[in-house]
Amino acid sequence: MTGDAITTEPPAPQWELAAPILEFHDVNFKGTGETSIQMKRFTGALRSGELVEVELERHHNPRDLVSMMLGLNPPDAGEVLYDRQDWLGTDYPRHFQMRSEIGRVFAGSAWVQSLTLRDNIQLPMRHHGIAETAAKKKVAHWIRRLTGHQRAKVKWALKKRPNVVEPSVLQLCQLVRAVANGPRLLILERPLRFLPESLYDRFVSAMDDLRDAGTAILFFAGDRDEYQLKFRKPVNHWRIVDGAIDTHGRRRP
Amino acid sequence: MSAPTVFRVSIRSFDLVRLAVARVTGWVWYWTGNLGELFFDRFGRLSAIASVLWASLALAVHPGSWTYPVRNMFSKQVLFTAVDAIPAALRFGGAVGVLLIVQAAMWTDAAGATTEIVAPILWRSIVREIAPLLSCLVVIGRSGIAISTELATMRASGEVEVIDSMGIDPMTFLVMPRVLAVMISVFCLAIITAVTMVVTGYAVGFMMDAIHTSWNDFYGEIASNFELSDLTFFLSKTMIAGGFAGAICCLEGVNARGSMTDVPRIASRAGIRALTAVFAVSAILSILFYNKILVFQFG
Repeated sequence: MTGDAITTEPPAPQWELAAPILEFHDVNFKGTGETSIQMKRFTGALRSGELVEVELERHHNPRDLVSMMLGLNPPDAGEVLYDRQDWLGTDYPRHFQMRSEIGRVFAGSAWVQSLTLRDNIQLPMRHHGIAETAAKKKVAHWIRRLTGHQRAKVKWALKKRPNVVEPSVLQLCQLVRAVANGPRLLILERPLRFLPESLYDRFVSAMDDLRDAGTAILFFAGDRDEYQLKFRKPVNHWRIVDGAIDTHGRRRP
Repeated sequence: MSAPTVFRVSIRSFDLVRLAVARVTGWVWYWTGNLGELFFDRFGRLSAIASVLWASLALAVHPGSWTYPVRNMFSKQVLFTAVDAIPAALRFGGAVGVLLIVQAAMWTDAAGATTEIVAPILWRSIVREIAPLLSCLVVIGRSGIAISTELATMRASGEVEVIDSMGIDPMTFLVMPRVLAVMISVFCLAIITAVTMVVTGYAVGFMMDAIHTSWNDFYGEIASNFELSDLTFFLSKTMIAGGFAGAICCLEGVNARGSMTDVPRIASRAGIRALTAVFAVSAILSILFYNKILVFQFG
């Protein structure tokens, strides 16, 4: 009988079998701002190849929460693990190494203003020992892949400092920086906020390919644009209820 | 006086004494608390500066810290703090050299003494005290405040968080190259300042007829007073004072809280604290090395 029961169940999705990249155990987090997203005894995991979408209201700001996930701010209680390792203690080289494997698209200010955009994009790769030519190749590949008809604008902007470049080009450059080094975990905070709709398909296709390569994606979607996106199934959903994130959610109709 | 009245008066006196004791005890506790708070605040600040300085040196000797972006940041900072500051150091050195050497020569001339007497005083005051202090003033005024402003702005606008998120240690990328650059710059600028002071002072003094000896004699008198301990003192003084100045400016900038409007206040505070530290370090090192404060012997 037991054997029959097992054979009739549908096979688990591949991402459910994969190793967890980011784990939360009973995490409480309040954040500093009034619009910060909170966690109340939150337990959940994000696995290799999985995409979790979190729909945000217009007033939600995920920046504090994501910084906590990366160990920049401590949670009020509970434990956050990246690749089964915590962010605690004074083993700073390990923490920086862990963060170097994570790509992030920031909501709000995202650039070192004293550097050009090219230097900004290549900064993490250069710092973590990627050879100059390899870094340039990776950046060029993702620019071709993501920018479409905006390519000329992006290439022009690479020589400029961020404060003179328009937001849509900056957003594309942010995406390039986040994915250029093949991250194991990608956290996107409102990545489509300034992105032209004509580039959505390229964005979706790039995310799906990254998932195929094993990248876990936590996608803090905005409140309007993302409904047309058709990511490869399965897409998991977390929801924000009363300002706190909850794993028992689904996408709004 | 009736017994109840005596009782009431004694009770009242007792209350007054008790009140006075309570007030005195309160004041003692208040001032002790304030003093303790002040002590811990100063101790905490000093240990934070020492930690930044120590961490910078520890990172600097670790070859893995010197990635391409860190080397780039360091060279830019040296260019800005040392090379670009050479004209300012020349101006300062020239002006102070004229003031010091011409005044000394005129006073010794008036007293009927020769340059042989004034040369050791000039040499020691310039190399041991004035040149390091002047170069520190130039570096703090020109670069220290700029460093704290830049770092405070980066902190307030979230740039430090961006760097941290990419797995780049802000201590390695932002603080260490700046602290080292300030140390090296103070040392190099102090040499330039000292040379400028001697040369300009002699030239102007000679032109004003305040110095009657030839350049060779003047320089020979100064050079004959050179001791190895002077070099040790000069090196350690410029490096330590520069290190403190750099660490304080970086620390004030990185610890900035609040909005952009706080940045000017943080920058001016960093400048004042760095200057205070430089004078304090200078005095302490003088005492340690020569058992003197500045150039005067105790006792």
